[in-house]
Amino acid sequence: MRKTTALALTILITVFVFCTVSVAQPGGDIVAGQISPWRNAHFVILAYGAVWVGLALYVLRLAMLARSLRRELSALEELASDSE
Amino acid sequence: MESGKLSRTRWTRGIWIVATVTVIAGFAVSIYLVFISTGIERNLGFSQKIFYFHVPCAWITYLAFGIAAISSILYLIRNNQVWDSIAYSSIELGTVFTTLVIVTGPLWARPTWGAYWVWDARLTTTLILWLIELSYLLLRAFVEEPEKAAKYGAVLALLGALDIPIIHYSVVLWRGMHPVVMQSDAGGGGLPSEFFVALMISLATFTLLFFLLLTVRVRLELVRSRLTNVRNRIFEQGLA
Amino acid sequence: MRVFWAILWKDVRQEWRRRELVLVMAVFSVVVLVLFNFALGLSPDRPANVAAAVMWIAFTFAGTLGLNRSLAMERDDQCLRALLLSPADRAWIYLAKAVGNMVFLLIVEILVVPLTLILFNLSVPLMPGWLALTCILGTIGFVGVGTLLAGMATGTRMRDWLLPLLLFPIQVPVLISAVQATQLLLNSRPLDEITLWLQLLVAFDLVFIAASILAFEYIVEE
Repeated sequence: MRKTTALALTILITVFVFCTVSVAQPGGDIVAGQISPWRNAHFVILAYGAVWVGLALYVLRLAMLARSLRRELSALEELASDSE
Repeated sequence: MESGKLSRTRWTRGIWIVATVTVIAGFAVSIYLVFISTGIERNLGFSQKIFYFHVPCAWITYLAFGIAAISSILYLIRNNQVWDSIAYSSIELGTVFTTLVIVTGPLWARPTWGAYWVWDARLTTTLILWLIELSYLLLRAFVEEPEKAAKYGAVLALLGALDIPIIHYSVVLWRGMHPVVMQSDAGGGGLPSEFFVALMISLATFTLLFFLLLTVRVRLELVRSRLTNVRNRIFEQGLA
Repeated sequence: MRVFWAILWKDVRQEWRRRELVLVMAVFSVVVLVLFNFALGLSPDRPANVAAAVMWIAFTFAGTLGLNRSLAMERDDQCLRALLLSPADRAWIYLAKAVGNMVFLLIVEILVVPLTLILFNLSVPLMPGWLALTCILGTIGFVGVGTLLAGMATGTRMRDWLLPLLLFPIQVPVLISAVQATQLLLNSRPLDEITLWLQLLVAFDLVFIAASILAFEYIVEE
């Protein structure tokens, strides 16, 4: 389960980065004042994407922490029941 | 806490569900407001939209560190493990948000001011805060005994909290302030009302998300430290 | 209070005999200065500004070395543990260590500042007294927090590596203020520009020495 999640996340991030990099053509990041206001869209996508990915990664980290704590707890319970 | 479970009563479970749904709804509403409802800002263009996520992240950064500082003081005074767990969790979570600020900041700065990084007061102070948070996490990771780690961490958090205003002031003297965010169309100093509403909703959503994540993290931290204690006691008594 | 003088005197006497700290710190500072000269090219654009910056970087690095060694020696000699067994006020122990470190770093600075002026071909500043004051205030700020953080760092696995990570971010106001003040002094700017930075240094020093005194007893509980 953990491996597939990690794999999915890696693919997702790679695709995302690839898309934004391909959109960011040379001269593509225009400073304010240009004609079309949509030219800087890739910055926005990257920024919002970073926020989502960052939060998702942290939630994933919390889930993994919870799982390892549960595992340790059951190991300790087993230890306690063995020594009775 | 009941033995062996991160269990909650029905009441708290209800609160959890409401909070989670609110956060999800809040993000949906924010996205709608940001991308569909509010117009494109005249001077800055589409990239101004980053503002709606960047500012809440910055607010959370300082909120998290403030919570950590207060918890640290309470831990040093009361010596209660709960305060330390809150401090540690708040710093860890705060580091995530600080990283997001530092990542989204340059992405906003580049189309707006032409440079990825400007050494202005707010961005620099946030960068140094990030470094202090990282050094806190490293300190906690590398000190052997848990109680010593907690004490050291609390002291560092306090030093950091005292330092942040001084750092900010010294960088202001050195470099100058954060450039004014934007002029409103009416020529006044503030934001147009629809922008303001979108920002506030985004802010509220992020804050709620922060407290949600913080509660989860604090619970996990309390369990973790109790498990560590139990494990150490077991091995000391030679039951293993 | 007696503890303060006892520890301070012990440290100074030990250093006088071994001459470890001051010598190593001084040589290291000179090495940093020379290295920066190579890195920056023979005649940098504004030598006074560059000199001020390089000098304080050298002091920061050397000071970190000194702090690490000073508290490592303490741990090795087990003196601190013996001191803690006594009911002496923790604050005095901290102050003694801090003042000791400060004295050593100041000696290094006395040696290195003239060398900086020579290496960067600068004339003696119009107000050398203010330069000395800047150095003293900057050193106090650095050593004040540094002693506390070094006390924390020596106990860990990371030892020497952890202190810079802890110290440098917290240290930023001292570095900014000291470098700015030194630059202005070396450029012979009017005094009122300089006093602003010195005030900031004084504020930092007061706040952090007070905080460190209060915090020290939480650091050394064994």
